[in-house]
Amino acid sequence: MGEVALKKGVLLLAILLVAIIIAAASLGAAHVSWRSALSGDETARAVLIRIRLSRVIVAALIGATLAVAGVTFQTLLRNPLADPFILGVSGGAACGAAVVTALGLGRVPGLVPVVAFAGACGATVAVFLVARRRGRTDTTRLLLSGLILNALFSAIILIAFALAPASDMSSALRWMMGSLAGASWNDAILLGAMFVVATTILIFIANDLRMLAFGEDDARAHGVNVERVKLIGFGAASIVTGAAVAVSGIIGFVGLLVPHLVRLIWRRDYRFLLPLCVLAGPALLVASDTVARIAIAPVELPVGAITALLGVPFFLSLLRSGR
Amino acid sequence: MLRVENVSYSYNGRRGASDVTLHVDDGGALIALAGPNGSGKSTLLKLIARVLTPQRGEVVLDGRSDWMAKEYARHVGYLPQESEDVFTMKAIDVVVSGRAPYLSRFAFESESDYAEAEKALALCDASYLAQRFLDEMSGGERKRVFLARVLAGAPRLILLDEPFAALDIAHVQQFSRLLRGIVDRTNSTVVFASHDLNWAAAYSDRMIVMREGSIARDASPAEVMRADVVRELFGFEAHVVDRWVVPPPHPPSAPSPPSPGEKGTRT
Amino acid sequence: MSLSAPALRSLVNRGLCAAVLVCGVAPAIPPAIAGKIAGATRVITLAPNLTEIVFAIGAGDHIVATDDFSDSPAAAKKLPKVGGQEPSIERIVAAKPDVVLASSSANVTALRAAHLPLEVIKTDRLDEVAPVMLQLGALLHAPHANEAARAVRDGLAKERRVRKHPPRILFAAWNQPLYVGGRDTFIDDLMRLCGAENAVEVTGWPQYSLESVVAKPPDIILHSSRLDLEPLLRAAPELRTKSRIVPIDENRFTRPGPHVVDAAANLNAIIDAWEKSH
Repeated sequence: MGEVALKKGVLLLAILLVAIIIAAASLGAAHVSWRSALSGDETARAVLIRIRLSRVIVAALIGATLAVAGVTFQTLLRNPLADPFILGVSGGAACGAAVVTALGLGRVPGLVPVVAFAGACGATVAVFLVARRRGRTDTTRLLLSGLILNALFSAIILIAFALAPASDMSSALRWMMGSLAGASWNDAILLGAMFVVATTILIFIANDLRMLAFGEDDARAHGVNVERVKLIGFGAASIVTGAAVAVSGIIGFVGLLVPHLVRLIWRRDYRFLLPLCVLAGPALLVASDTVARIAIAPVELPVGAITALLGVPFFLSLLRSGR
Repeated sequence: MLRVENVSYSYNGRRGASDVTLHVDDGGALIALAGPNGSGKSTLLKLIARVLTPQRGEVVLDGRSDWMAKEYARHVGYLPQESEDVFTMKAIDVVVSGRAPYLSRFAFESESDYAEAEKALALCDASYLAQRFLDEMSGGERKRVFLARVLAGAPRLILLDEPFAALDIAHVQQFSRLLRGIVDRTNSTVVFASHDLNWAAAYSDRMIVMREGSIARDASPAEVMRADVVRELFGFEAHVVDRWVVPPPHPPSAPSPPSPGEKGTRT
Repeated sequence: MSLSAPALRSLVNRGLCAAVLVCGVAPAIPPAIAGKIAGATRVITLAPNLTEIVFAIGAGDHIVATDDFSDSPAAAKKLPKVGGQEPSIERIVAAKPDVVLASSSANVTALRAAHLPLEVIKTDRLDEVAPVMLQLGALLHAPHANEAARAVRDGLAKERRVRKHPPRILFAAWNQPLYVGGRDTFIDDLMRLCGAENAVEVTGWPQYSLESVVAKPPDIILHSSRLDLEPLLRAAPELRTKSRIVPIDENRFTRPGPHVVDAAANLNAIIDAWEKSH
């Protein structure tokens, strides 16, 4: 019975996503047509395939990744305000990436994503230890611990910058200025691999995770191995957050916004929200990034500003509703 | 059916349950777990529900203590004192999630699972709530939906932690009638914890009274609801009128606040 | 660490602000007021181009301290330093200046609050350099102000070019994301003077669309030698062949001081080399 509703939702969002991707691939600062690209025009191919399409794909993957991280954190913490950016998990990942780059180790292959992941995990553990009391996550504690963690990571970054040579510092800054510009196919492959691994893991525990939304004791009484599910869930959400930040830097509010937009239409459990977020996340971020690219082209807006403009009203309304 | 044998549990040195032994048989009964706050009622229910693992002793169901968690959950249902419902859903979707112990890893609930959920809602006089969302319901309605969720798993033993705690007196009556109906119609055994001695006695066939982590009395309500037993277990002098404990009036020297008993409301 | 180009500096500021999750808003700066401290003998300069100008007009021996970035001329290196982005108010006060010269892109709130004899000097554009020399000459009773100003004016006039096919030049101020030097900036003035056209048609220092760069590749791409252009070129490798990519010494190139003539000559040489290979 539930499957039918899910299939309908997936179909609807998939159509929306494809439409948005087609629009995003057609719109841009450069006036070149797909027809000339397909008939072999070198410049058109470079602009459309290598630059625009790769950016659209990376935006889609980042959107999916952040949405999956957001909905997983919200379910695990049973708090609708949980989001990798607000929790400080993105900040932890960016801190790791920026410090490594500022220390001149940014070109060691694979080091930045690994350290970003370590930073994300560190922040997640801190959230878990600080924000939770007696199995519950109080909103005030959650927001305060996120605020404090972000302050801590900023302090670490500022100190690393003070010690770093100017050239390394300038490359380290990109983790702070979330951007999808200059994203390459290599980024897309790294991110795509991490996303597929983490989402597969989450699909394995989706049936257990949705029981966790009713409380940990309740889940245990239904035969769920709560400790294992929490460990796997937090681990997967941290991995994807680390990978997203390693590619694009911090882009806020996507993880908060997407699950809530999905819930406005489908008020169902995690098993439904996960696949729907995988489709709605890319739709939202690709659309936001397209606006950032074309609103005042050829000048670009920071995509994080667009997502924040969309996300903040949501955040405030959720905070006001007190749920 | 169920044997709790010499079970002990403590929270970082704070005693929860100590050396509890208890037998519950099949065949439908309404059993009250009574006792003052902090006497270990919730801990004992969690130990039976396998939410907590005993530090000493064991919980044996049908002669076995090596149940897989999901298998065990098909036989024993548990309703915590407060159900978390941060993310609102339709009642029917909440209730059908009670079928989780029967579901394989990637499966969604089938038509027959939904049929069970609807039956469970009907047992709780809550069929009319099926398509409503949790955040549109009163506390009493939500309680019934979550009780239906436990019933959807068709357990033989149903554990309810303080089911009356947040209900007004009219809803307590309604809810207790519901419990009696469930026992009669499903032949399952319901164990409910209550700190209110009078309600525990009024709505049960058997009373297990806990005190300081241990079982102080396991008898019929008529045997427990006596002035000498109340004095022994709860430490105050009370009148017992028709199996109803009436607390002594306040001493006349103090300005006496209106007694809740006089107005017919209890907390 | 030297961050002289105002664009780069403001970018770094912005990045640091992002790091502390605070949006910094630069205070509005009133225009410079000249002449009230005429004949000052204890001068502190808080920008490398101002240090160079004061030396060029022959008042270098009045300077008692400079900011950390002032590395030229050689004599300036030996002077006491009062700090970089956030100069130390304590050190400035302790140096007992008659006048503190700051550029209009600096944050002078703290300096004002300390009631220091502050002069904010606007030298963001090419044609402001010579007037500032005269203005400071009057302020500091400098002996060579007229000559220095004339040298700049004449030198720039000599470097002025009109080219039959003006090359389109892009100045990359930041790599990820791409920030560029737009119209109405110092670097834009230099390009015009040398007979080139700024490939960027908008004003200021905007974040810029990479695909519009690739769609219409500029003839020359200038970037600071400290800026790693590799990430950008990996995303758009055709720029390696279609554009002439020239790293420049930012300190020599984007400092609105006495060396603007050298910068113009330098840019002309870069463009001439491009014309020859074309």
